[in-house]
Amino acid sequence: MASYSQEDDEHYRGEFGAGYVVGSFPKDFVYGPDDPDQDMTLIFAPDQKPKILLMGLRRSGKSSIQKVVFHKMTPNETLFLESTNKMESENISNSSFVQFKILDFPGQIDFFEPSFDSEKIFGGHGALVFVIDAQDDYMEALNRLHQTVLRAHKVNPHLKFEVFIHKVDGLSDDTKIEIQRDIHQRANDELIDAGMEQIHLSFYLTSIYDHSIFEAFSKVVQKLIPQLPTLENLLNIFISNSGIEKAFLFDVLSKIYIATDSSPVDMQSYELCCEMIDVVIDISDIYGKDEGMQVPFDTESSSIIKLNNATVLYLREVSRYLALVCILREDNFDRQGIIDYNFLCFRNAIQEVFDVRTNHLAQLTNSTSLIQNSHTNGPTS
Amino acid sequence: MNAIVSICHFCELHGPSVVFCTQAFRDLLDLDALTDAGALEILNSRNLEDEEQLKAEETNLWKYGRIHKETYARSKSTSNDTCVACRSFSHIQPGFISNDDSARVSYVSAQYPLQSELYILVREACIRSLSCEVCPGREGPIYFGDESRGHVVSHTFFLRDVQARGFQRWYSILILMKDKMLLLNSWPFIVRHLRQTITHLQENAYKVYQNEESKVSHRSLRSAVFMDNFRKQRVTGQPRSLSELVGEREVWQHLHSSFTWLLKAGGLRLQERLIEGPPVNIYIADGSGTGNGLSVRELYNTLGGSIFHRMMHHLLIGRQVILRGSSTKIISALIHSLQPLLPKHCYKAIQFSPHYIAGTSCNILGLQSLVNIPQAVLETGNLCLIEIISKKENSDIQDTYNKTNLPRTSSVINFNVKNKELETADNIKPGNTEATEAEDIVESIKKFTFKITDEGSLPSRPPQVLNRIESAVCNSTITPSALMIYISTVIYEWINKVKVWIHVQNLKKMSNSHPERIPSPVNYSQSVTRTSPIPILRGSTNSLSRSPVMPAFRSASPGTLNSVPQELTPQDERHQLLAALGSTEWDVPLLEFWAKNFNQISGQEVC
Repeated sequence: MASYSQEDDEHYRGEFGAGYVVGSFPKDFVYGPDDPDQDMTLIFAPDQKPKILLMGLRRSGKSSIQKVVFHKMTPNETLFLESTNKMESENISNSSFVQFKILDFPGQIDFFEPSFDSEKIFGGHGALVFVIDAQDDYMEALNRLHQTVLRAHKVNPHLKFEVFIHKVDGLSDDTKIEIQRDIHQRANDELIDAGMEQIHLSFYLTSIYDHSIFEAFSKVVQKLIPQLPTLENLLNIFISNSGIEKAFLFDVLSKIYIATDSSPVDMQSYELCCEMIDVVIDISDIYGKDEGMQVPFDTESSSIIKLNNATVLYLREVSRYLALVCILREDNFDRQGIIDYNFLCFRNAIQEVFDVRTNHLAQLTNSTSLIQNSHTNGPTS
Repeated sequence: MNAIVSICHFCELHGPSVVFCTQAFRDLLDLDALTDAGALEILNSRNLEDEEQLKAEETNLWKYGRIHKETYARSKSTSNDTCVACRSFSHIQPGFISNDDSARVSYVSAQYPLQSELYILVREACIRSLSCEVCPGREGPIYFGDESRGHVVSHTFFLRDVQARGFQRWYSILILMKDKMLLLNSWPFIVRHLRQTITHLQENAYKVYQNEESKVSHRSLRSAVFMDNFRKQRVTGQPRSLSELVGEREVWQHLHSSFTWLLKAGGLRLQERLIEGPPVNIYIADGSGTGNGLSVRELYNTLGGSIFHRMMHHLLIGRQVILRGSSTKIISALIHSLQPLLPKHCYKAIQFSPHYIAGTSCNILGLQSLVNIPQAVLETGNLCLIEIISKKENSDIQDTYNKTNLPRTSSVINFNVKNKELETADNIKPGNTEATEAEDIVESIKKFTFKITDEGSLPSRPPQVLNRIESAVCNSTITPSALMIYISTVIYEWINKVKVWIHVQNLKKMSNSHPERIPSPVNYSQSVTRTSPIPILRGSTNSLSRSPVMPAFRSASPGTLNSVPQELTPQDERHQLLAALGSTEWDVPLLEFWAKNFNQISGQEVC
């Protein structure tokens, strides 16, 4: 009785399937070879998407961060999240710039155990975000940070390390600075003691109750965008020729900015721009004509908001998921035609940057198919 | 059932952890010598004053299949960092033991498997069940595993808890064993009983949840605590033990008895038995007679798919197939080429007969084109008549056929006597033809067309064997020799099924006369449930914790939960048997036909 045909199987299910939930019962009785790596290859498809690994102790706020930034969950709802029990993987592929994978890890499990394939988890291009609960005693978290960084660096020296000092809302500004200094000091000291001073850790003070988490995530994502210098350069040229003070290139869905000009970012202007996007999306949501779209945002989307402090917020659509938000003085807005013209040039330039990438990808797929062809032809060529 | 049943929990502090394990220990013959000293240490040695006494007591309690001290290893380090949620027994209470004196098995429940190598397997399965292989509907049974890490059926479930993050906690029940076939064949049984246990736990936990929630709404409390900015006082995520969650102090005893029952009943449910009988290869045609016939694929191409299908269907379910034509050579070649498609005992061919011979004595019959078939036989519908008509005289034959069809009242007297003569004549007639002749046949057969002129009605679906033969014949990538091997393998497989079929039918006959002595293996599990709902409880149920056996104990055991044993109708039994054989309703004619002459070939009673 080596094998059963399809009919047997149907029959079997007819016999037993009705009364019971079959769940994962194998489709056939011919138990083919088990492939324990199969599900892992599903999680880690062999594409070159950068990944962001969210790690940290339990209850440090990893899942909350992910939910708030990418799922529009309100911060209060995160109180009722259950603890993450497995590695959750999610693809973020909004535009051709913002393409990465987020892996949310349960804090209770040590993923460096030999039963996990650390090559697959930590390999590839990406960043490891370590979340520390600033309201808790962070000594244990620092120990874990140290171990995680050392071992992940061993597996993949190209991994970038970001430390989120999280839940800083409710702390006074002095305490925030003090905690950040302390954590920075200790973490780097330990790395130096371990002789790994070449590892660079970046620190951010974050909270899901304000925009700091979006800003920190923006910085993390920007490091994963290879075209960042080009984008910054384009923005610099654009603002200097249009009399604009500050310009952000936003990913509309997540409200993380993928590039800005080289002038320093202050938190207020970033928040202002975030809120402007919210306003535009909400208004279009209510009065927009196309209701089937995931985001009510298209090529016609643009908005001008004049503030009473003689400042103008100006939003234009760049591509399906990207928006340019500018802050400028009201006087400079007199010449809106010039700004619009410059914007068109800017948009074309961005498009060219896109095209380089798409062409490159097309070439890649061509060459791989060529390779496959030569394989099938055998060694005759 | 040689398995470990365990409860695992995703602890909010420690992640996936093994909480409770039940194992069965059996006496092995050569193990007695090893454990003779009785130097067995299940108790934590901290309890110094009681130690001697407990040890002596415990060796009495643990009757069967003790493990040697060397192999017994409890990782004491892990017990240090367990919290109340991932612990089932405190240090003083090592576990529960139930002894089954009739089967000489001891069922031991403890927090961890008592052998360290098993602990590693269970621990890994625990992580996989809670953190990797999560069922798509989140709650529910799932299978995973391999040869090296053991095969696991895991059923994950939630228990409501006001204090948990997300107001629920993750648990899973694992059944780990080495035998994949047994595990998966027990799937319906295992899942049904695990679900009962789980529903019981969940209902209790829900009662506790509602009770606590009615006192104070934890959901609003949690928001309020946040508003007051007292977030450092964590109200959530404090570990609570399972017995606290379900509000039942004896929950571990209940689980012990459930799991023990599961292990015991699971073992009794399916039994492996070697069915004796003559070797299978005597049933399979040796292929010596095919020399002067066509190959199966040539036969298929010659007859055409439709005629082949109908003819084979008739043959496989025991109808008579009659080939009628003028060319003896062609008919004998066709009859020969049918030989590998049937088991030996079902192939009774008469190559060329001047009279009609009844289907009881031959199922393949070659007839001369002018021989008539008695009307009575045609009306029974138990035959398939194939006319072989030469292409050029097609029209002539048609006429003569019509003519000869008219006087259908020829007699069939004395066919029994003649039959014997013919059979002997058939045997004498040797197949000493040569290869060239076979090629001639291939050529000459093209001059003929085939037509089914009379056939009985067929069942709506053919047996599975036919589908498999046809798909193999149509698959041109299979070489002729591979095709022959494949067909004989298919027949081989079904001969084995027929063996089991006969065996069960015989048992049924016997059990009808002595019902209680020989239960058939199919309804065995049912009879167990009926006669003794909780077989293990008949043994001395000793719990080391010395807690009294509660009255609820009995009602919580799955045996009584399942106290509505349905009477098996013969129809159900037959379904079960067919399912176990991997056969279907439409295979029954084939099974019956093949079983008919099964024992004649060996001349002895099977089993």
